[in-house]
Amino acid sequence: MEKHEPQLTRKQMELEMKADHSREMQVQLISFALMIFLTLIAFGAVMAELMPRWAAGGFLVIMAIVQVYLQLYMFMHMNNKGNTWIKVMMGLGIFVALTIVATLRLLIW
Amino acid sequence: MATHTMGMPKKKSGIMDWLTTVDHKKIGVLYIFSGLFFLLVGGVEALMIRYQLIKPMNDFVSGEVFNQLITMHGTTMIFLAAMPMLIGYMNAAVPLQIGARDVAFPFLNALGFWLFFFGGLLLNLSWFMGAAPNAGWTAYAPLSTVPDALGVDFYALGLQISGFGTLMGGINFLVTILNMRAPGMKLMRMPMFTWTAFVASALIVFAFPPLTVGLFLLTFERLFGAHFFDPAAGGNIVIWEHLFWIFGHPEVYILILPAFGIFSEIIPTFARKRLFGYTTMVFATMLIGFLGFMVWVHHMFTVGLGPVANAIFAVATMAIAVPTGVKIFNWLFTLWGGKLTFPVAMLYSVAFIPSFLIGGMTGVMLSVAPADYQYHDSYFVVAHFHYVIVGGVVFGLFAGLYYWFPLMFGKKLHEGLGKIQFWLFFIGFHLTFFPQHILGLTGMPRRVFTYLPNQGWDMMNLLSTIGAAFMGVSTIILLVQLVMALTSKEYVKRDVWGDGRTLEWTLPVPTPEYNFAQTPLVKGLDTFWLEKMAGNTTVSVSEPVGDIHMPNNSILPFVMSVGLFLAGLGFILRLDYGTVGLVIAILGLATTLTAMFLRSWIDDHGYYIPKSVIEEDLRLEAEKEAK
Repeated sequence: MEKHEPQLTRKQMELEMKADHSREMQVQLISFALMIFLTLIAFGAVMAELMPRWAAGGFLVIMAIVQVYLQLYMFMHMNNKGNTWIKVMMGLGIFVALTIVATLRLLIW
Repeated sequence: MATHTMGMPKKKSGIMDWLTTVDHKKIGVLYIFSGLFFLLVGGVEALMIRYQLIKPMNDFVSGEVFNQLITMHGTTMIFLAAMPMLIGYMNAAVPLQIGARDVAFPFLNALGFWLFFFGGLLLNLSWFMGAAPNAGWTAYAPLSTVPDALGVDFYALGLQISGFGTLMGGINFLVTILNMRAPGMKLMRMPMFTWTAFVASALIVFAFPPLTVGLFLLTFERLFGAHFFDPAAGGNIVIWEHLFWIFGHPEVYILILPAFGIFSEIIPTFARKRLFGYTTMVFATMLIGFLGFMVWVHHMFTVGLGPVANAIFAVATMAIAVPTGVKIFNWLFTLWGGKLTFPVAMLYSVAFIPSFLIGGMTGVMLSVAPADYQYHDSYFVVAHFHYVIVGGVVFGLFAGLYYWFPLMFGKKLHEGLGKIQFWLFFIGFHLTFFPQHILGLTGMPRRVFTYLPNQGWDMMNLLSTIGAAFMGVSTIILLVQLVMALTSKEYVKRDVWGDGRTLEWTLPVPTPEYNFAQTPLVKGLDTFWLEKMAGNTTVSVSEPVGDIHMPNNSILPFVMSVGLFLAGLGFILRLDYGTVGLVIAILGLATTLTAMFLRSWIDDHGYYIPKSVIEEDLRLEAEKEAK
């Protein structure tokens, strides 16, 4: 019942896994540092009061989008294969949510 | 695999087996029978409504009871009858149609059922606590926030609990259909019912969160003194309407799409033709699902949101008529030139087309915003949505029941009685709801418990009530058929309709608990039919016979649901009985949390059915076929 993997010796497999693991770890660490840095920038931008209110708001939204992207693709492995349907579903969900929020924004608040 | 030496668990008997089952086939049966039970409850409420309106100035029930009846009729039929029965068919048919041994999350499946069941029970308990919900099935604020009776508390908490269950069902079927298909079952080879189940599940996943939010706001407003819908405290009453309809409109597509799927299975089977325009059918389904989220404001044209909002949503609504029209023509072209036979399932499918079409056309009429100011809150609207829900969804439920009953129970429903049942229901349905169009156009408002004589409404109301009686008798005949079939000993053979096209008909009767002894190999759309055309009696397999991994039964889903039921009840009682209610609520929550902890703590790897048992089953089946 098990799937047939390509025939590798035990040694080769271990090396392969180690290499994968360290590459993975590197990506995770870099993105972790990047995200902390981006968070600091976001806080700094508001605290330093360099921008008018509306510009700071827009800047924060852009930073948030970048952060979400990093989260999903670096940390949560969205760039791996076989995630097409997850992407489709998330895309649809975001679309529906944005439509609803935009409509309510115009109609109620 | 040899290291797993988990023995087969002891067979539980009778009621304990049903309470603990995680088998999708049995959960399907539970869903369908619970749905039928609530269909009867909602039906009795409908008959009482119609009896009250049989003549002017009738005093069969008071206005207050009438309000409770209409509220509970709508809520019960939508949430507790139609949707569970459709999820029941999904359970009964989808895993078999895609060649799977079970759904992706069997435990979650059981939990979903029991949450729905206890949510429904909590809602209906309100009848015995002296106050059923009375603010309409839409429960518009501020009417629903008036704290004078407990009724709406039952609505908010009952629907919340059963909504959790539905959400779980939706997630489960999405994952099942994406991940558990047999080799060769590409997306564009899936049977149409599986496709519609897939799209409806996606709609559930996106549409139920707004309802959950709305119900939480309502619950907090009523039970814990919040002011979301109270303008005096800075709230806004229109938020409820938006949240309700953001959920409510996709909800009607959650109901109608699987019904479309059922017809799309039955019509090709009894026309002995491939479904016309399969690809367009799939895309029409997706388009309807997508557009379903863009139209909720058409329920709120008269709220006063302004001409721009009304115009946008009117156009979006009219757009939905296009993919629906595509489907109607596809069914007609499937019938055209087919070798037609008309068992009851097919009768319902063919009757559905013109009936639903009438509902669709009144729908387009209602979507014209300026005209809607005239139709709004009149019997015209009542006629419209009963034409689509009864003429579409309920016909689909009955068609599916006749079609898949042999698959679920290994026996057939009586065809002769079935024809009587069909004609009574069909005539009764049109007799009940067609006059309501005219009542609406002559000005009768909906949700009134009585009316004055000599306004030109007497005759039409009388006709409508007579029609309702027809449907009542028809339902009694259905019950007789069910009892007859379940007590009979006449088992059907494999592929009962003789011309089954999809994988579920390749299975032996009754379906073994592991479904497929060997996972099938799918060669195209309607793979069983393709194999028959190639001269085979069954489908190719994709694996040798081997041990089959099965999940263990569990009582935990039942316990978790009982806990939430008690918690809901406790929070409602807290208003009148104080500490007693609070104690019940805390006990209930503790029960649920304990069960959740146990579920996480206990390692449950399931068990294996050994190869020898399956080989024995295959041998017995081959002997039976040979006879």
